Amino acid sequence: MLSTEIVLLSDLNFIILALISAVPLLLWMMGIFGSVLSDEHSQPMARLSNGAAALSFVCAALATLLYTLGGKSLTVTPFSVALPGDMGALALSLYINVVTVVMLSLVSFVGFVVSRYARNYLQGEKRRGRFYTWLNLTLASILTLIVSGNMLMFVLAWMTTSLCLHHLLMFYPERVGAVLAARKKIIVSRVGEISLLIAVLLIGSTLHTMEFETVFHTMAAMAGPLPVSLQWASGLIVLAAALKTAQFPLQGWLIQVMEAPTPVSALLHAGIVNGGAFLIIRMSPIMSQSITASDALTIIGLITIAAAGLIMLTQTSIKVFLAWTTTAQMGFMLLECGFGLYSLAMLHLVTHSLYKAHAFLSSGSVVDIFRTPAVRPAQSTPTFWQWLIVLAFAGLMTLGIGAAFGVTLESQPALLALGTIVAVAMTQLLLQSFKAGMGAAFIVRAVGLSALVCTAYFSLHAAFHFMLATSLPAERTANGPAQFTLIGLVMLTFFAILLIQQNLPNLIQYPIARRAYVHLYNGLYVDIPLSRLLQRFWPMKTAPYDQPKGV
Amino acid sequence: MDRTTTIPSTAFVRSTNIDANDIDTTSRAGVVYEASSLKAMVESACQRIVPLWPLNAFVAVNPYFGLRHQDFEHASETLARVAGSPLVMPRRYYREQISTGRIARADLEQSLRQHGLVLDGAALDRALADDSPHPTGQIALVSNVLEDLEGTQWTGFVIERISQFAAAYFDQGQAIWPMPWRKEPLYKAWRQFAEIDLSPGMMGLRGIRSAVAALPNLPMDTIALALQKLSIPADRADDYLHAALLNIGGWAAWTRYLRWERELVGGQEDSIVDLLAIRLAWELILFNARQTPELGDAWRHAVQVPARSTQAQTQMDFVLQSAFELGYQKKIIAELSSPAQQSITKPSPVRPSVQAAFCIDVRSEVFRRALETVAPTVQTVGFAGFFGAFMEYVPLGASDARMHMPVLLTPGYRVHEHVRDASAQEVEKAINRRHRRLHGANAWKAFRSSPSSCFSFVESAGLLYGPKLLGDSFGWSRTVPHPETKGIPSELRNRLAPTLAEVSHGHEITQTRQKTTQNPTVGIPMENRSASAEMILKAMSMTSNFARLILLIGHGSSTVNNPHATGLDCGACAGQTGEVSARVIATLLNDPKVRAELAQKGIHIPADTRFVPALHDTTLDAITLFDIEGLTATHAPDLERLRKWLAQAGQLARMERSNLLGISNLAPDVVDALIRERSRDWSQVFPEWGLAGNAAFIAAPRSRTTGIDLSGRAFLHDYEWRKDEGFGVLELIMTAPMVVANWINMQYYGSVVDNQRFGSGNKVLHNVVGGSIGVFEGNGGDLRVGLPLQSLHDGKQWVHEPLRLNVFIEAPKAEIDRIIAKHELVRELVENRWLFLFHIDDEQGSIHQRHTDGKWQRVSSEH
Repeated sequence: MLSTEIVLLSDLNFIILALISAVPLLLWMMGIFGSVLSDEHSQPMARLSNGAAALSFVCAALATLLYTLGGKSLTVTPFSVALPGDMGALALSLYINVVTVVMLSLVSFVGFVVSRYARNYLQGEKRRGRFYTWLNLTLASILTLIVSGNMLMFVLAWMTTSLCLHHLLMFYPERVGAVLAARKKIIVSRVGEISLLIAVLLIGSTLHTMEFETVFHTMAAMAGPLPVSLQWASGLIVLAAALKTAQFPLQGWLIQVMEAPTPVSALLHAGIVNGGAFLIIRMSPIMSQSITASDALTIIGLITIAAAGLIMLTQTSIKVFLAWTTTAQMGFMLLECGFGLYSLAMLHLVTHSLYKAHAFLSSGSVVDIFRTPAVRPAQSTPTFWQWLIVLAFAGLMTLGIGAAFGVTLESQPALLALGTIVAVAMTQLLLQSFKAGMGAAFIVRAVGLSALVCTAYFSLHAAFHFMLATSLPAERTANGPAQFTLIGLVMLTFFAILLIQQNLPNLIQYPIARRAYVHLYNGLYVDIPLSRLLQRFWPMKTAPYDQPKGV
Repeated sequence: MDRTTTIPSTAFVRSTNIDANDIDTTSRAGVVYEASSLKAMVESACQRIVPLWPLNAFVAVNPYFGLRHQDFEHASETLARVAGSPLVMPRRYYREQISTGRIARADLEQSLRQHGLVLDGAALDRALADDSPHPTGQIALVSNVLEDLEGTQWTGFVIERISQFAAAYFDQGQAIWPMPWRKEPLYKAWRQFAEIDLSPGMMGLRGIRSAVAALPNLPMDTIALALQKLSIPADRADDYLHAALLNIGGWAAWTRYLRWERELVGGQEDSIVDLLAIRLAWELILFNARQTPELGDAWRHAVQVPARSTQAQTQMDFVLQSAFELGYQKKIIAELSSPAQQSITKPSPVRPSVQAAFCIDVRSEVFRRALETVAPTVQTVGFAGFFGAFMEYVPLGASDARMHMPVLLTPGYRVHEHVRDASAQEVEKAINRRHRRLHGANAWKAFRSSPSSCFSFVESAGLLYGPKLLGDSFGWSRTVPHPETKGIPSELRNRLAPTLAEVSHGHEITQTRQKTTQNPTVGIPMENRSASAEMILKAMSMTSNFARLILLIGHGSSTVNNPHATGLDCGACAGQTGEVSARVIATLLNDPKVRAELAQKGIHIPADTRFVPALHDTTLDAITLFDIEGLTATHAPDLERLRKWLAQAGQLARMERSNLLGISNLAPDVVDALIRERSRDWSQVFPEWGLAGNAAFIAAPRSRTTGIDLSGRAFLHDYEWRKDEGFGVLELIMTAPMVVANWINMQYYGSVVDNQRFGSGNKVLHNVVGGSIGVFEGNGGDLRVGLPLQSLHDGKQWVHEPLRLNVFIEAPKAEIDRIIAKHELVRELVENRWLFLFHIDDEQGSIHQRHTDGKWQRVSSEH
């Protein structure tokens, strides 16, 4: 089985396969064999791990390059064990397509950056060697998750990721906050894993396969309504994804991981939380046909955007602020998935990872921003006329540029919501430049900038759409009755957020706004019950303070 | 929430059946506090707290400054009693020092004798092996007592609630939605906040909101109420208030900073009192909400146990600390009094090839020694790195002035950054351009971080962070633009310079310290210049024998992504680099009119003498010269030679430093490359060691220390008492640079002996709060003060030795005594043993130590 399949591959595809296998393998080996180096030899451990991470990125990048030159989408299964009940097989299987190579390049790149960063950053830490062991294993698990062609293998990699990550979150086991956050993560992860496992078994028993690619083709050919078992499966997938992406109100663990060193936060926020959206994208052949589950995704995403979006406005420490923005961004990704815009979600995943990795790793630079001479805006809130002009302009610009890229509302109604979001963002940018009070030339530049941003948005949208066309199901045609309500809700939410943010200085006079401020600043309290439950049923021993290092 | 019940009683998790009325706290309240004595008590508690400067001007503070009126050992007892904070190292640290030989047996025996202890060998070994217990605070708060009873982390909970509130109240721009009550006093704002906040209720502490509503309106009344209801005996109220403030010590330090700033200009600021009231309000709330007989008993017991710490440091700890300090003292005394130092006390009358004035910072010592090694004809001088420029500074286009001088003083001048040789229109254009760019950057930042636009930002511009991640990882790019040059076009950067002229940049400037009436003078007026110049030269003991080139070298560090970066810059320039001060003073001293007037006063600066400002980059050990355009015609060979020397000296200094950086035994160019890489590395938590190791302050002519390897541990201030008529300069040195050195020394000391309370913990967990107020370690908790562990400890051992400052002054004893008697602050530092004072006799070469009783005793390396 092994030999025949691989021999059938052309040379190019064989090289791609080899490269792709190397990406997780390098880190698995480093993680497993590197652990002999332990904490006493943390310097060679760090250097070797950096090397392994760099090499694994180079392999991923080369694989991507070769794939664009002429690779083809395929699944290679070197080893498999048939499952009882005609559910397919548990297999070691690699699924190679555009999504795979893009994700591999992204995660191995972020992994390399984090690995390199930690070398100097954790200098002098007693447990640096162990840190690298678990970092390598965590990265290897995510990369395995990405290449998995078999759903059960995917679930196993998904679980391994959480288990390895747990050790990174517990880098300072003496910190009560770290333990509490890690325990929240344990509970959330286990629930997510069980739902995912059940979902996968349901799919297997219905479609009689565990291969993503086969599911893709079967679903494309399927006519008629979605079987009930797959409806259930898609619901469970939504649950697993929402838990993985720290959706409101179960975001507590993600917000509180600041008790682990900065590189762990960066890896988590830029790499691991994306797992949820990646799951939806991998399962998109099923998800795109499950209207209820998709609508649920949209609603979960929208609630999270609204809650986290308002909460982040009030946060006063840089890392907690960044954590809430991650939650909101994850919500946005799920929202896009819910509307069936998988290629946009993929774009979001890639760009957000890069941005958030940088934001966390450079969070110490925020002081430099406050060392820069301050300039104050001329007005605190926009005037009515500015609102009117800017809104109209931003709307027209978005429509115009979108149309130039061939994005029209007839093609997909959900784009109305997305177009509105872009227009609202442009409005925010332009209003800010009006408020600066720097005159017409400044506003003209801002207009130019917003046109540029808008163009970049639509061109990337188009590029990802084109790139992923073969890897994702055809755009959703079946739209549920709730779709227009949801689109309306999304538009309303974004207008409301914009309106609130631009009018904050005026809101202060309303008691209801002052109350809202306090509740939002406290994260709407949703995390407290979970913390209390945990503390009651899983009490923590608090160690007395000791000098944390050496001596 | 039911507002009719004033104080909540029993609604909490493990609910009890006790009726709140059964336990009437007021009946036991036998203590009545008079308004005036209460005020005095609160003031005294607040005075025990020291300020915390923000991260954008992170200046060193002596964490024990508020206890300076107490003797060192007495203060140790106070800290142990009030906060469980140790003032010496754990016993095992000293055992290690003994085993490595750092503490010699002889020093130990001498120290035992000094402390009047008689121990034979076996008893001494037993005492050494016995680990002194970590002191635990004897002054309990209600939250501590409740914690012990219930096992719930109530203290942590209260700190978290107050800290979160304070972070929002004091936020300087991190939050996009500012707290609504920021304009109201802290206490009032807290009550409004707490009346809405549901978190305590969610935590099982019901009725808090109505309890807050029922509190008195004035913070002082709340403090009085708490003291009364909690039956705090009058004789321990002082300690109790101190303990309450130290319990939220980070924010207390921040409010103390706000008060400090206002007090310097004669204003009043009471946030610290409000904070104390808030902390005590929580005591009341917890006490009332958790009323049980057990708590009543436990609390009664807690306030009645003798307020004496049984677990404070014992004599033995002080014996060990003194022995540790003796070891260093003997070494430096041996060097200072070695015969080689005797012969060269008179400055050579030969004209030096170059004079180079450095900041007294300990890092200068390494470079000065290196420079003198490569160029023995160069004379180096030590002086406070602001070079006597009493100014606040306005960067180009800024609307806020910033302090650019020691934070103990108020600025007399306001100096602007200006474009050299530019017309008014050109300057205006440059400012406008910078404003546009800064506004542009702000609009982009808002676009990036607003909930209405951050999603579209990510999708359209997020890809750009791919190359940025790579660039930052390899040090090719800086994470964010450098704050000094942000928004300034590159072609203008070389033309920017501070100007002494009275210029107006066309917009209103906010002062650093808001004086109610007086505005600082803009520029340095002509009529003041020669007086300033005279004062500066005399203070530097530099009034004759001027070289052709005189360098004024400020210092600054170059690190990226480091929240505590300004802590590595010049403390004498209020956490800025010394560049501007050096440039201002060099301009002043090069002014022909100033020189003419100086000549009338008897200071003749030769016409061929030029003052050249420079900046010592302490991370790279490289020196950059400024404003040398006009010198090429007259001093080209001098400059060329100087540059060569500076390059060689830099190399030597870097090689010396490489040891501590863990990159020793490498070729010089490899060391250079690694150090350069370090200064640009966004992941570097050990960019340089700053002032770690500091242990001595020497005010004497450089000839006293020339040739001695002081290992970058000494502040060197040049001083020749024979030139100091009336000893005004000596007085200045002992009241300003010496005190500043003590602040720095004690900041390092406190951060080592109690990093939990007076240090800021682990850098890899730092989470910047409120824009640039300070850091949390991790998610939250109290605001952290002091130095991060990575500035003190290399992961294996402490790089900084906690030693009190050893001050050596070469001046007549009588004059030193006179100044001590005149200045209470100096007397306290010396006589309460917050530093050790030595006198160097320049005729005999002997060294005398001043004891706490005011007597001088000759000491030798065997003393």
